[in-house]
Amino acid sequence: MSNDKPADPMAWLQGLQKTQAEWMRQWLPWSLPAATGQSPGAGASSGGAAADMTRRVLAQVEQSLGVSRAVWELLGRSAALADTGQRMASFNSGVQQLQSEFSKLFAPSAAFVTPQAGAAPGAFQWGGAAPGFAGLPPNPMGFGLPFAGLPGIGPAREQQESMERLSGLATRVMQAQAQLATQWGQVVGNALRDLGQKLAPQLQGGVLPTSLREVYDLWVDTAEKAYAGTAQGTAFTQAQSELANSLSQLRIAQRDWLEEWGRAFDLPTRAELNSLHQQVRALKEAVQKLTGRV
Amino acid sequence: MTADDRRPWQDLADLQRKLAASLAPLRAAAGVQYGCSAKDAVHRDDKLVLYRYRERAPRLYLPPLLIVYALVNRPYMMDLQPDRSLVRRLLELGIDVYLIDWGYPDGADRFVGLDDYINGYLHRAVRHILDSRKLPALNLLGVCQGGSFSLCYTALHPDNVRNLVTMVTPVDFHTPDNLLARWVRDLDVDALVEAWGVVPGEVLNAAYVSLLPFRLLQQKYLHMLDADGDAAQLENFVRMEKWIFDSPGQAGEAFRQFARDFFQENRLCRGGLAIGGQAVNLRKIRQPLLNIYGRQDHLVPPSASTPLAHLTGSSDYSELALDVGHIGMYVSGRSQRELPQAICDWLRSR
Repeated sequence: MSNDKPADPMAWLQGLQKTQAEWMRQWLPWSLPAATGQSPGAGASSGGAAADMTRRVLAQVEQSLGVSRAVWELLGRSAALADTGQRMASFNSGVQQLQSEFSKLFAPSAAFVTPQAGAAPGAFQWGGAAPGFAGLPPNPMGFGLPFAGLPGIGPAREQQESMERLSGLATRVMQAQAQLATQWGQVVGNALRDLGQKLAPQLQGGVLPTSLREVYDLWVDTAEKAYAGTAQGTAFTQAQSELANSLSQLRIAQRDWLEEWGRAFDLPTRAELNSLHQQVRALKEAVQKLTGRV
Repeated sequence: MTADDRRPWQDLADLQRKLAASLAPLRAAAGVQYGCSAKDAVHRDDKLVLYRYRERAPRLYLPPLLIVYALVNRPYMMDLQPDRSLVRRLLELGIDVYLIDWGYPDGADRFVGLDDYINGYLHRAVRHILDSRKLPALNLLGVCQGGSFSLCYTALHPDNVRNLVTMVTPVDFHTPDNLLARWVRDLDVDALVEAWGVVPGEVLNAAYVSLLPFRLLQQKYLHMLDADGDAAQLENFVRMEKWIFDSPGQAGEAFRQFARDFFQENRLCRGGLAIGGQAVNLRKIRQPLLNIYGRQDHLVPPSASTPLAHLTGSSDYSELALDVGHIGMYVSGRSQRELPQAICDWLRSR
């Protein structure tokens, strides 16, 4: 590590970041399709694939550098401390703080993850997330329906049960998203911890990574390893499967709900089309057999 | 400020410079084309098109080679561009190459199942080649899921296949390092198929990129900038991106059967697989068999492919392992140099 400290490296970095952001603002309109009205390519082919690629790249550059930049700044602050013990304490404390900050990005509302005592499994708990409704009894079917949980009665009972099923499934999807977000929070937290453990010996020895790219690539390697460790686990697999399965069920229920309206207007429905497809298949098979093409 | 201290700031400035240099070539790459070898459509069957490639060298006296690609991606990966084309290399070696393009399923295909694909479309394509060329049998090259299909086809119609090549083909779907298979195990496949009918390609893409999310959603795009504005490199990158995300929807019934019978119940490996009511017994495969896999393949790990050695009745089983990943098997420089010649030599000696 050099003994010649830059005059104000953090100010220098901030200045460069501002320049980078301004530069991106100048370039981004140029790369957007003609709809922005600012592109020199207006009227010509919008170059959808290339413009989309450019947007993705710019977004990823900003996003990807987020963690690396945070780690880089932490390294800079810690390295500025002359005493080795203080340097390592500062770094380790900083890593823990980063873990906490980034993990919070994935933290779901407690109302979705931790059912209150006595609640039906999968129930959305009003008390934690909506104090205004704290006086209502627990709602095992979902939110938004004061009479939900009661049996449907009257001519609209079928529709009421459909709506309750929909809201219950929507709750299930949100809970599954929350569970998966918790898993991702663990991934990021573990990745930051592991990254800190890899960088700590370098910092202790007075040798810093020489490039932001080096920190970034190390972050990706570490993050992928942390992700692999979590993604193979039962908790992650079950959370991911539950999200996929609940989304499928919700989509089916939404379609059934829409088809009720479709039938009311004598519009073709999925069930009707499926029946037609099956009939066409049977006819094709019969024709193939008759023509000896099998 | 010392030279060492300048380096990180230079990194950021360098990144901006590379980004600026890349924007114009990226924009120019918008209309990127793929497929570089001339071919003719010789047979059509619903959405399937069977192509025969035009020769690029005097043809060897060998049965034609039919390439059976997976349903989940487009087959032009085999002929992506002049310097990345397994098909082109095989043609230059004198192999007579046919390729099945399965097409893009739509809502009318939701009830198409594995029996339709294997005993229907694939079988009719094989019969077209054999009948039109008056041949008793052909050589079959199955890629990835297409390899699984080719194994099933050969077991069910052994007389039509002379030699069988499988490439990055999963056989055992329950090995510990197969993350994708692990995820599918708890999936309610019936609900997914009921919800979608034809499972969108985007759903499968999301699963694939989720296997390596930091590399495939972030790092890959930053590394793209290392091309430093090189138009040819960036065009190649955009072409690859086109293929990666150009994923057809999956006919619901076929998806259901493949996910349940292959991924969840591992029947191809364990036994008990039936296609169209006919039992698939891999022991009935007695043809010479070349099994090619990539040592760095994260999608079909070697452990998913190598059990094939003990599952067939072939007395002439060979393996070819390359130090490449799943996609690298088609497009890497190493595979372009080694693979076509290896396949040609293997076929010529049988």
